[in-house]
Amino acid sequence: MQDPNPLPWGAQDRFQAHFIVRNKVTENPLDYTARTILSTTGHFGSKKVTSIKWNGGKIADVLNSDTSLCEMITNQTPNDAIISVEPTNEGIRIYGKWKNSFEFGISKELFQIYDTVAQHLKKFTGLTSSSVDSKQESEIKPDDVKEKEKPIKVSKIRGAMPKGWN
Amino acid sequence: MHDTESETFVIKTMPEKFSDALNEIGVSSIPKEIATDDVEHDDYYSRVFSQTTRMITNKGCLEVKGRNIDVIQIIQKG
Repeated sequence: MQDPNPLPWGAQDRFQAHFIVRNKVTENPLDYTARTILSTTGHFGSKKVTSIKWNGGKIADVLNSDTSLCEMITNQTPNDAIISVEPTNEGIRIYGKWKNSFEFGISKELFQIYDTVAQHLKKFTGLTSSSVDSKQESEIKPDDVKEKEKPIKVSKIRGAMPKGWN
Repeated sequence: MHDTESETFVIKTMPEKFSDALNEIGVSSIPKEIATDDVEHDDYYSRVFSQTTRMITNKGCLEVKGRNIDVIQIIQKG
């Protein structure tokens, strides 16, 4: 006889694929955090996405400015249209919602969306790091050269980043 | 009476299955041995968003070639 009260432990039939860009975030991690907010019509099976908006840090503005990306996401199902971008210590992760083993997979359009977001992330990190470098170079005096060679301490990203997180 | 399913089958890991799915849409990738990538040894979430899953099982990684995405990690809830 089957147990009427099964214990709620063990791995569940829910999978997630994290699409990772290997860029280490040394600045404010909140700038690299974004998630889509959907506008929908209908309910249940007939629910459709009418428009999406990226909400989050500076990267959200960059992603919102790409209208073709927003259109591509709008054409997805409400489940697939929820995309999150968040930085971790080993890279910036792009992921969607949890899916069961039958639904778990990837379509060409969805991969294209993730790849475009990754492209924006690479451009964004490149731009910010180069602008920081140029600023630092202009401020460096000959006496400070030795100090520049010291390794920069980078704090690990944890929690909700209160004031003065680093 | 015979079943339509084959009597033999090849056991595949999640990254291998996902790599096959990617191959079908024209994306080349190589599944990696589990726990060999740096991304598997650190936090999977930054905890910036509220209500992210606490208990997660790593199912492995796959390296993507010629795309902006560098690596894909598969995780399971619980």
